[in-house]
Amino acid sequence: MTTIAAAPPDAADIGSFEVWIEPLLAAGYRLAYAMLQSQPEAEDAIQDAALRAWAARHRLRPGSDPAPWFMTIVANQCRQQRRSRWWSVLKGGDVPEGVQPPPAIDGADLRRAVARLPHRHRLALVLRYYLDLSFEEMGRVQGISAVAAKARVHRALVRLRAEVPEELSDA
Amino acid sequence: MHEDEFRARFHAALGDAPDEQAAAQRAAAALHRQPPPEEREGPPRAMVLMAVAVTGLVLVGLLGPRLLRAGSRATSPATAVVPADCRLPVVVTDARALVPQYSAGFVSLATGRFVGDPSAQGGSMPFSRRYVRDQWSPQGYDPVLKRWLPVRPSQVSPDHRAYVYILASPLATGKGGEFDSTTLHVYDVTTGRDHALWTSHDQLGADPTWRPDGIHVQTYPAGGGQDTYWTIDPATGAAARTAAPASAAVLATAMRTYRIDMGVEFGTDGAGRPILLDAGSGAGAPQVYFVGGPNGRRIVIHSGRRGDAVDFEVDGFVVDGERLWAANRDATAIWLWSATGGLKRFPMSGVASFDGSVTPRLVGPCV
Repeated sequence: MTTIAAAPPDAADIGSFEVWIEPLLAAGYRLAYAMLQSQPEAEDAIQDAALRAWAARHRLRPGSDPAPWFMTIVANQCRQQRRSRWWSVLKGGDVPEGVQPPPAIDGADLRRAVARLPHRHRLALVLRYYLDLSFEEMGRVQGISAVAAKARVHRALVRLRAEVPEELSDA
Repeated sequence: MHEDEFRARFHAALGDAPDEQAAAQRAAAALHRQPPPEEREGPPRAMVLMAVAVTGLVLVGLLGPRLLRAGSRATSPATAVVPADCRLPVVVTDARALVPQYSAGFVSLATGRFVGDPSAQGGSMPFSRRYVRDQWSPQGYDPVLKRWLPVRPSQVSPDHRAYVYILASPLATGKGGEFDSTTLHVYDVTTGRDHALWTSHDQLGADPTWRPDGIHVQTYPAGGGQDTYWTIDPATGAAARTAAPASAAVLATAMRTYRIDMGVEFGTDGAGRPILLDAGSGAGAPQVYFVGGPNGRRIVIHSGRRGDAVDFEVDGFVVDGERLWAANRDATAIWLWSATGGLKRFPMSGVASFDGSVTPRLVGPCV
C-alpha cells in the first residue's frame, strides 16, 4: 500500500494538505475505478473523497498511517455513489466459507459478477486482488482484523461463484 | 486456480484505471475549487462546515508556560490592554499553485495594513524535514531574536537562543514507507551550531515543544500502539517518560460534557488550557470557540454561525500572554480576545484572498 509521511500536514492551508495527500490520490483513484467501473464516477468519487479527507483530517491521529484512512474514505464514497444503482440487485443470505479462488472465467462475466456483489464483498476482492493489499492492510481499511479480512475475502469468493455458477463449475 | 492466476484475471477483467495521473491531479485541483457548503450536495453539511473550520488545525504560538494557573479567572487588566501601535507577524500561504508559496510580513494593528518583509528568508537555518521535497518556509517570528524562523514559536527555547526541529530518516519520497527513525536536532541561532539531541524509532506525533523543564515530545509506535510522552533534557539528550499533559484530560472532559461530535483543538492558551471549536452538527448549528476550563467549564471566545454578521472565521490562535490573537481566513480581520476584555475586531487589508486560496496565519505575538 502506498504510504506517506504519517504526520498530518503542519501547515494550516489546503495547499499543504494537497501536497501531503497527493501520493495517495492515484491509489485512491484505482480503488474507485475498480469499485465503480466507470471513469467519470471514479473521478467524482476520488475528488469527493479528497474533500472529505480534508474536512476530516483532524480525525487522523498524528503518527497513524494515513493510507488506510484515506482508502476507507474512498471506499465509503464509492458505496454512497453506488448505493442507489445497485441496491435492487443485492442478494442476501449466508454462504459457506472455505473455498478456493474461482477458475478462469470470461472477463466480462467476471466484471459483471463483481459489480453485482455487495459492497463489502466487492471491496474485499478489489483490495486483495486489484490493489494487492495484505490481509493486515485490508483490515485497516475495512476496520476489521486481519483474520476477519481473510474470512471476508473467502466469503466474497463464495459469493462470486454463486453469481456465475456456470463459469465456476469446475472450481 | 492458483491465487496469483486469479489475481491476474481479476485485474484483467476490471482493467486498468484510465488516465490515472491526470485523474489524481484533477482530484488535487478539486481541493481548490471547494464551493461554500450551501452549494454542495455531496458531503454532509456538517462535514463541509468542518472542512472550513479546520483549515488551521494546528496551532501556533505557545511561548512556554505562563504565569496563570489552570482554571484561574484572574487576569490583570494592565496586561490585557491593546498595544495600539504593535505589529503582528503573519505568514501568508498562497495555495493557488500546485506547490504552496509562502510569504511573510507584518500587520500593523493601527492601520490594519499587511506589509511584506523581504528579510523573511531562510538563509542557512535548518528546518524540520520529513519529505525530500520539504523546503524552508517562515513558520514563526521570534520577538526577542527579531528574526523569522522556520519553526513554530513553541519550538524556540525559553531563552530564545535556540530552537528544536526534527529530521526523519530516511526522508520520505512520497512513494513508499521508508520511515526508520526521527531525530531531534537543536540549532543555536546565536552561534549557528547544530547538534543531534535524541533519536526515536517511533514516529513523532506532533512538533516538539520547548518549555522551561525540557523539550516535550509525543511518540507513537510506527506500527500503531500507545502514545508515549517524553521530556528531553536539551543539554544532555536524556529522555524521561512523562504523563499525558493535563490539557488532554481537560479536553476529554469538555468533549464529553458538551457532546462535541465535530470539534477542533487549536492547542492551548497561555495557561495550558485547550482552545477548542465545537463545530456543531447539522445545518446552521452554532460554532462555539472556547477555552476548556476545569470540570468541563467552558470559557467562550465566540459563539455564532458561519456567515453571520460577526464574521468570526479563524483557523488558529496565537498566545500572547493572557491574550489570544487570530486572523480571519479571508484576511479581512484580526481578532483579539482576553478573558477580561472579551473579543475585539481590527480590520485587516493588503492580502487578497482569491476565494480562499490565499490565507493568513499569525505566527507570533504583537511586537
